[in-house]
Amino acid sequence: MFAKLNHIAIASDQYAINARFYEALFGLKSAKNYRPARAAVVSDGQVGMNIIPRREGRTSGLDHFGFQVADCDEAIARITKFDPALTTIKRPPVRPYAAYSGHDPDANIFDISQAGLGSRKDVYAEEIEATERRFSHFALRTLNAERCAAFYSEVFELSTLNKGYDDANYYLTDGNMTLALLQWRMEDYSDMDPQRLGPDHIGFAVESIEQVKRDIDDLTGQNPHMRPRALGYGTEGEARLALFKKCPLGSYHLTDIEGVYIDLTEAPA
Amino acid sequence: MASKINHVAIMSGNYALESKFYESYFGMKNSAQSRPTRAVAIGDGYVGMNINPRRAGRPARFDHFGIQVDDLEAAMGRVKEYGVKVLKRPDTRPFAAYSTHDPDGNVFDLTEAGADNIADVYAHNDWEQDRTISHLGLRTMNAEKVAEFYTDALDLKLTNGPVPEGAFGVTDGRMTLMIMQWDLDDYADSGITGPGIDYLGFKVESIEAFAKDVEEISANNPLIAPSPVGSGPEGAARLEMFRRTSIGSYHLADPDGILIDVTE
Repeated sequence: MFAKLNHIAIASDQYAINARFYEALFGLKSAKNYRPARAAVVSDGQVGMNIIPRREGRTSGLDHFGFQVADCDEAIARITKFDPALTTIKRPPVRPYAAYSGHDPDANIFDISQAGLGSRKDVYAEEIEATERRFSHFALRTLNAERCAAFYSEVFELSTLNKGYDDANYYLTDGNMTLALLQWRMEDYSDMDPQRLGPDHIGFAVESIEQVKRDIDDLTGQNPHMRPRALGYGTEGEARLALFKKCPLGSYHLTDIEGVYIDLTEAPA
Repeated sequence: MASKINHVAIMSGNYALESKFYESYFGMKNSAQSRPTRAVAIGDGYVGMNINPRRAGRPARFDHFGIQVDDLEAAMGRVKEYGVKVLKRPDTRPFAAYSTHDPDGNVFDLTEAGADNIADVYAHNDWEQDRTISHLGLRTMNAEKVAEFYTDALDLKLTNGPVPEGAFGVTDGRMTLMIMQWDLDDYADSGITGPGIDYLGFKVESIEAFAKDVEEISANNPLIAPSPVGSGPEGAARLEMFRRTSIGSYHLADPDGILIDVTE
């Protein structure tokens, strides 16, 4: 396997509380040797998630994802081969994960890391025990889903999953995580505010959706700061939820405390 | 056709506080007929700013802008020639009758002067004030093509005024859209932001007076103090990039971190 999708990043106005939410509801773990002045970093044992304090000029929300590859130089060469106009940059060494960052043909940004390069920190440098609830997918809405699918397939050797005949989306997997490339269409937003292109939601595989529902109720009762955002209220909320539900990889839908979309599927650990 | 870039929209987890910031520092005014259950809409007498409560699934950010045209049918016809879709909006919007996007997928609203849906500061916007919204920065994948779209389809003009090096400035005569090429290399020493609206620009009567106000207001009410810019090596790199790609001489960020370029 050449690449693993094993990094997700959220930029957040409430990064410390949001990290607690993911730890409390999904059982994600933080590193033993974490750096309190920087992002909160949590993991399911396979995929790390950086919850980054929002800085000036940045958006708050689901921000980017990252691949650990067998060979960074080879990945960069493949990106250039796919389209010489696509660029990569070396990242400052304070990052716990990224050695390089790059973008696909639609300017969706991802990080690239290589095991054993020595620059990795936090959950990316420690063995974290696998959690029962785990990340299952990362979904992007993008303008040219087919071309982006070809990009991720050729550069990172992700495998294309089967899909419905009339499904314009693409689903690619590294064997653990699925990258969902959802075709962005203006007409999808006829009953709500249009949303720009980019990261859309994250997915978790859980042992029991009913148990997660009970856990949310219990968590919110114990600590109101853990309350997910309201979903599906009013005609526009219904329309947004209906669009969210079109991703076939999840069957229960919620948000984190800031409104980042999360969908759940039931799967054995 | 006369077009006006007279709507900007922010999505915020602190929308009421954000409004207080723009009212306090820039003198923007609330509509007398505001609707307290919805977004806060404030204006400078020309441009209306909606600060929308962040909803589920939406990022908090400087979200979109809007253009008022005097002939909506003609504008929509030209927009469609670029192969993009135009969408009718729910009638609760105080500005947008339609939404659409440029060839790079940058979303904007369209409305027609005098339309029935126009409300709040878009219906009552006939005052003058010293501090006004003057420009916004948009970083996009194909800047030249996008500039051509706004001049050709929306009848905006290439500006003779100042623009950042390499940018295309398209203007309605008062508000200018600075269209810049998005380039990953610009982010080598800082966190990376994808293409989209990058900053908001204000024109003020005096930078010195404005700087003094920033100091006084922040001291009086730290909840609406600007978010820090330029801290640490990555912040310094981001500020250097912001300065290089804007036209103002004073740079700050609102409490949510939205970049603001101030010119005299």
